[in-house]
Amino acid sequence: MKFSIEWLKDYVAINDTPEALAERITLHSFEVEGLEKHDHDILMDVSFLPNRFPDAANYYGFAREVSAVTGVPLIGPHSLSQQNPFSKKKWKQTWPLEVQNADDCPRYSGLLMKGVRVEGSPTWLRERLEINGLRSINTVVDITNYVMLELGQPLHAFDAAKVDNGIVVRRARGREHMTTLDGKDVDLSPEDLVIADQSNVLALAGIKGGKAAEIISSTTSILLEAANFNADFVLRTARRVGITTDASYRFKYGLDPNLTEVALARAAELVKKICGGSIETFADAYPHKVLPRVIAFDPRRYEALIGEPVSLSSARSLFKRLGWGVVKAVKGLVWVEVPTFRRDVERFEDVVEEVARLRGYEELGSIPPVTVLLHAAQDESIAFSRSVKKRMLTFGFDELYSYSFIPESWNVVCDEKTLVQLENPVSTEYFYLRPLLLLSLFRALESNAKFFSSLRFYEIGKAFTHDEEAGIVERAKLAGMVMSEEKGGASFYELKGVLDALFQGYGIADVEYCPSDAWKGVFAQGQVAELMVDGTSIGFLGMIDSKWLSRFGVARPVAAFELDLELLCSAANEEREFVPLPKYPAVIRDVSFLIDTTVRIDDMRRVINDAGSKMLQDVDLFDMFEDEKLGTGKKSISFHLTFRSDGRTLTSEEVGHDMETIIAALQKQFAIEVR
Amino acid sequence: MIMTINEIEHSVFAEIHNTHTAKELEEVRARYLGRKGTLTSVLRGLAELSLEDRREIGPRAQALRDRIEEACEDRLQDFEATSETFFDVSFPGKKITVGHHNPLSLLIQDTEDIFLSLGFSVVDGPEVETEFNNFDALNIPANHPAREMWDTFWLKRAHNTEPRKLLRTHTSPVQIRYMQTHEPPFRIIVPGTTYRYEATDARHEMQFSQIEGLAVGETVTLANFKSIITAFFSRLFAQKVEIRLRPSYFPFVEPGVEVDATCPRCHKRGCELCTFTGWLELGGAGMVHPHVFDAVGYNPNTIQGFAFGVGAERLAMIKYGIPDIRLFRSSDLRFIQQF
Ligand SMILES: [Zn+2]
Repeated sequence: MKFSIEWLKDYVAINDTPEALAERITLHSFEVEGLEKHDHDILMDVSFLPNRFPDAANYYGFAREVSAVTGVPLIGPHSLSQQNPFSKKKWKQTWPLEVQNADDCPRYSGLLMKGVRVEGSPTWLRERLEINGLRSINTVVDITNYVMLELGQPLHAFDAAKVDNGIVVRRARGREHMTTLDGKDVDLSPEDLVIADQSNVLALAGIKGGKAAEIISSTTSILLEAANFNADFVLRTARRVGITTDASYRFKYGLDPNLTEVALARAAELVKKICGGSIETFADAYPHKVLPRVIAFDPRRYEALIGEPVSLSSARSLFKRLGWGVVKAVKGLVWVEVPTFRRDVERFEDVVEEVARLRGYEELGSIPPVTVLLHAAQDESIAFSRSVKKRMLTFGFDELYSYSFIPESWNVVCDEKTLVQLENPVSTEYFYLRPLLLLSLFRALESNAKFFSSLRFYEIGKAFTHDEEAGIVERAKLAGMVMSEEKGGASFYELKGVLDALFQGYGIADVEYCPSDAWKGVFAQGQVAELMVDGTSIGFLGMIDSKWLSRFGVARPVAAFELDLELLCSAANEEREFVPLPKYPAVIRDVSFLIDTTVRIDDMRRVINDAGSKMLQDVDLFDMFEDEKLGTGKKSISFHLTFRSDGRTLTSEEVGHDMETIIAALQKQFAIEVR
Repeated sequence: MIMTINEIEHSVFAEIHNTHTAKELEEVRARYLGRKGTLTSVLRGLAELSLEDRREIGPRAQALRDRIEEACEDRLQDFEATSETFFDVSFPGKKITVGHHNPLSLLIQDTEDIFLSLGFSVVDGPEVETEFNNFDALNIPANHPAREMWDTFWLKRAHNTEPRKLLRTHTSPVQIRYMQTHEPPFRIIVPGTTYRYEATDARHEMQFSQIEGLAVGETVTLANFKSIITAFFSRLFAQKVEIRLRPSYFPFVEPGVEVDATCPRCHKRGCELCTFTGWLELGGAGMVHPHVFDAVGYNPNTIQGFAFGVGAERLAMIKYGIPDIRLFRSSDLRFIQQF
């Protein structure tokens, strides 16, 4: 809210320059967003958080804060500091008032005035409204708005002659409707709170008045309303009908019910001065009076919480500046009475804040904690992902952070029932939570493919699925992608090499790459492996389907993988143990043969390992090719076989014998032709 | 005669050394050792000398001839070596593919390391949260106007009977999870991804990273917080940073403060980064509200503590001079490869 410095001077003397005042307010109360020149005035733009909006986002309340911060006492219209100006008197009730439910409307106060002239407003009034973005309508309406800016209490004025036999505050009935002052037709529901007379709905409580009892130039008697509505109703109805007004905005934060009477007194004072007329009668429905809270303040507890002492006398002088009374003082403790306009101050800690901020946090020392020594550690999930990131870096992968959302049109990648959907997506581009982390990497592929001929990147992040029994399942994943300049499956094997190095680094020995048809449409059919460790699937590696790739304008072959980080972590074993270096030399023999192209390398390897050689240490594929000369459906395979014994140097007869056993086993299992 | 041998010895080695090609070398060699070469004529003329002179000069001339031959040989090898493997040290090195951390990871890892050294553990938590952990337990009840401070992504439920779930709007719910399963005293930080339902621009993101801190015990004070946060920012920005606390409001702390630090770029003199104020607003903090301790079953009469939160992107933007928050999740490798 913007405050005119000149206007503020009506309530408190300002001895500081605007800059100095802004600095003091920022350090002790609220953030000052800026100062701006306005004719011969300066406007101070102050931002309020929800706790202080009700008491301070108005001129008198802000002046009260300035007074507390600067220590300069409040001056200003006597009418603002009066307690209960009307309710102490006996009034002749000339119009009926009924509030059907005090929970919906804790207080409703109305003042009837007669002999009023409705005209154009004087210049000073127009100008003050304009500073705060309000348009001048006529004297009566302008006064209600002025008092709202001054005190924070929204007011409404009805043409009393058009009100049919008094006021009822009630829920709307089904099929009821009203026309607002600005001509909008609103259908009402029983969830809405309205102000009505015996025949019409006159206003939407706390939001907007209606045409039925509008103030016009011929109006002479007015009914001024100052009420305290339940914030839930105001919020809900304002949202439902799509009308937000200065009044509804203020009610939303909750107001002090004791404010209604002061606001009516101030409005009446201004009406008499500007429009003439006189007070006829006052009516008030306020069954449960809100009383000030009394809170004990103990300076020792203050010191225990803030870390520095405060003397009782300096605390008491700050309470005085705030306008809070001390009702009791015993043995170093005081009980303060917090006025009802500070409804945010509920307990001891709130009082501590008032004392601490008014003293100033800049005075607070910086005191290292004295504490027990604690073992500080990282959660395993965090430590492990840091370690994976370090390894991926050495493998030449760039690290991405992407959005967790995928477009609505990507629901083809899996059963829609397993997708987690947002209730309020920002757009169809960010519609579901990703069920696979690697889906997010396609955006990176799309945007980078035009700048690079080959790509390597990865991300660690969450993937989300909906499970019928478990509900929403959130898993930490590692996903990566390789785009290669080479044709065919090169990127697959490049990535597989990376994964092998990763597994090796974590001491994960037996990872099986099993053919899979998972994530059809994303992965190319028949070019996906499910990665199994001890019978548990830990993820996938595969070539990306070319049709899916074409969505992103990428023509080069792309391979991608995704691993479950928690499963990878639990399979990992980073303990190292020294193995004695070999004492005797190894003998390496090569074997080359022709075999059907459909035989998997893993199967050949298994047969070689299981053939029965005790001296066989390692089987290493070093060549594979297909050629017309070999005949169709055949490929040439060459392995290095390494033999070694820990007890002696092997003879060529021993190795030759084992070679024959291995070749025999291969011949028995497959139709091979040794070359 | 002797003079001549001395003269030869004086000049020939420098001449050999100054040759640059095999042809030049051959010319030098011919000048001394060729048929009409200087040294050759000396050797030829030996027969005409007296026996005494011959005894003195003969061996010296022979030795000089051998040394010249040897020097020519060596020099020739120099030429052969350079012409076969011409060595250009200015030739570019072989490209090694190295990966790059996202600057966000660098920032978060730095933060973790600093807090680990200050005795804070690093704790993880889920991104999908319950309404209770994200709001109610943090003293932000439904319909409280303060809820509007956090625009929330809600998740669809399969059945209306299920409790409402959301994408956490801050890492603060991990406070609740941690306190429900641990006893004080403790000190933790929580780095993690958070979400806000809002329009994105250079300073706002719908998905971003936060680092939450929490220290709880019987004697933890706001002055302690000031000391810890001063140490953190000073180490993160590798310079002495001053901290300024201002009143603020977050429902889960009381008192609540805004944390400003002196601008690390201009050292309080004022620059564009700090909009010429000398100060940067870097986070929120405060003393944990007793309602929060109530929600996790701690006794607020004996337990107290401070909590704080900072935005990882904001800190990375300041530390690395990154102008737009959207770059972190842009997936632009030209950006990531700078780090
Ligand atoms: Zn600066």
